[in-house]
Amino acid sequence: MSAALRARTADLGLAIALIGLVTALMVLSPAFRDPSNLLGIGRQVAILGIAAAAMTFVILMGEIDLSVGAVASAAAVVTALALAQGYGVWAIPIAVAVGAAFGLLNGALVVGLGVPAFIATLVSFFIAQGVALTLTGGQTILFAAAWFRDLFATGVVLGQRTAFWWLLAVFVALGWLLARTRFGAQVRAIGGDAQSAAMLGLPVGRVRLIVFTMTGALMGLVGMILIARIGNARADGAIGLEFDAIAAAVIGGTRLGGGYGSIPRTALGVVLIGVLNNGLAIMNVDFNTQQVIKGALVVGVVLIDRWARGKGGPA
Amino acid sequence: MLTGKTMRLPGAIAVLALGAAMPALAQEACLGTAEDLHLSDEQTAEIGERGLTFGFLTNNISDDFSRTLVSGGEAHAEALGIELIVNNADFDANTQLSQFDALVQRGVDGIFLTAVDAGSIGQAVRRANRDDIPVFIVGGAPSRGEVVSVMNAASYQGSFDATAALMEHIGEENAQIAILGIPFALQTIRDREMGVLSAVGAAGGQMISMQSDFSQDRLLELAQNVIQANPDLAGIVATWSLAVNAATEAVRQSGRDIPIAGYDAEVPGYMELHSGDTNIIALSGQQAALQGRAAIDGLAQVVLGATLCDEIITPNLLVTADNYAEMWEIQYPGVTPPWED
Repeated sequence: MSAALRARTADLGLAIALIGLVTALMVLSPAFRDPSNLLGIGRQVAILGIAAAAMTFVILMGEIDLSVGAVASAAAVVTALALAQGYGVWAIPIAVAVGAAFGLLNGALVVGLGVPAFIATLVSFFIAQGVALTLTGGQTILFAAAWFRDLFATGVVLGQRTAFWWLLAVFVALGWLLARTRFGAQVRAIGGDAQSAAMLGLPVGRVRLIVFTMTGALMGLVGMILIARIGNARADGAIGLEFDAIAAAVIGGTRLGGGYGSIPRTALGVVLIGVLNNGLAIMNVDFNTQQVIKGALVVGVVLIDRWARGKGGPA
Repeated sequence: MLTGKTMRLPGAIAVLALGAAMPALAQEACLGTAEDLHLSDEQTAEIGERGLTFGFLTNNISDDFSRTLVSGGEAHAEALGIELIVNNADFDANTQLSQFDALVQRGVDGIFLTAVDAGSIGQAVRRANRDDIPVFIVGGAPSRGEVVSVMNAASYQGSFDATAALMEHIGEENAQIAILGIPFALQTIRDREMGVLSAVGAAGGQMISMQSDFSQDRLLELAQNVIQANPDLAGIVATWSLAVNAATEAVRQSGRDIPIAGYDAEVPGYMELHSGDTNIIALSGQQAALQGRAAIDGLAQVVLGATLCDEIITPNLLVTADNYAEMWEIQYPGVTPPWED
């Protein structure tokens, strides 16, 4: 098979896999093919989707962010406390600011001090987790703000929950940013070869700082959707999200070494995971088997991607 | 007239019978409930004079059960004049091993723990055994070393009672029930699930779905999917606190009237019951504060020479819309109810 055909296969493979999975589930389960169930998948992947889109930028840049789950949890806790104490609409900028502050810390550690992103974001993970645990004292924080819940998750607009519209907005915005702007091109260039990018005069440090801060701010949004969905906040609310986000980006074909990937492909990865989660639950497949199937899926997609791109490709 | 030989035979039989009965007699003499462990006034005074130090190791401090357990232990230790060293392992078995060894090194008078991993703590327990430091554990016995007792909540009975209340509320044969749980391979979790299955079976219901996860958000998804996939779903049993929250929210968002029973009665569950507008029929509340107190009492009893039974079960509370205020006082003694905040 020619290299060009292999690359084409890689581009279409994920979409074909998704169509195959959806078709199989529709045949196997009447409940799955219910339109309201298919719409429900959209809101269920909102949190994962936003985290995966942000993670795509980080990975494209050749970095990693292990703090996203803890930062989203910390932002969620601070927001819930703000709502419970009557801060009202001010809880929204507070959430974004908390997330952005942790993102800025990540960026400052990586860019300013030269700390590897793996370590820097692990530091933020522990700090964010500590902040969330200290603020909650291990308790579940309840809040009563129906407007907030409607705005970020439970409200219905054009037949779909607001959580889905937030996801769509983030996908469109980040997709445009990555594909249509100079900033997006700089992110790819840095991920492809940071040294060359610096020699060409690209603002490597500034781009890294912006991407980490943007990721943190988006985790503020994730935190808000998280608590709006369930109506409470916990210190461990989004712990583990980082691994799901990385998995979704990788399934979408984002190269872990940086330089290659796109938001639409990550969106396909997110939808694939969402469909799989939904279908397996509806078919009453137990937790352990679900984990094995998802792990096998990640390995399978990565292997196919490597094969399809061959030695000379960008994989 | 009995000969010497005939006289020796009944004697030997009596000795054998006594030997055979000894373990049973010893177990009968042991302290087997939280109430049995209570110290008398004389014992309390004696413990106060001894200047004891106990270690209290928890696998984490981020959940309601662990926090309440520690609070109960700390309050009671202070009342008895016992110094209590509390360490939290944050779910890290190696951290807990280090904490355990540090307590042994320090020569504390007893160690109580909720193990991160009962399998890996065994060697450390043996080191405590060598130094005659009594070890009292929650959950399951370690693979090696000896503990003075294992304390457990009434997982099976608690789940059974809450589920039985749900089934009675549903009141129909072949009612379709779903379990929303946690994927821990622990005996206490299996016991909870067995309690649910028994109660559903006894009421003639049928189990149609068993889903589990560690994340509250993922549990919400699972509950939504199960509700979506089963139009005749008659009830949900959530076997841990976050599953209770998730099931409650999923039912609310679905707009359907699906009753819920749950294991763990925590603040969100109590607030649901207090609201007067909830699908929760019954919750099984673990008495963590009582367990914390019993932990201190149990170690103190051992120091005073008493024997604890192999297992000490603390009863659960069945919390409903009718008795939640009363149950709160028992489950969280001295803590202001959230609806009064």
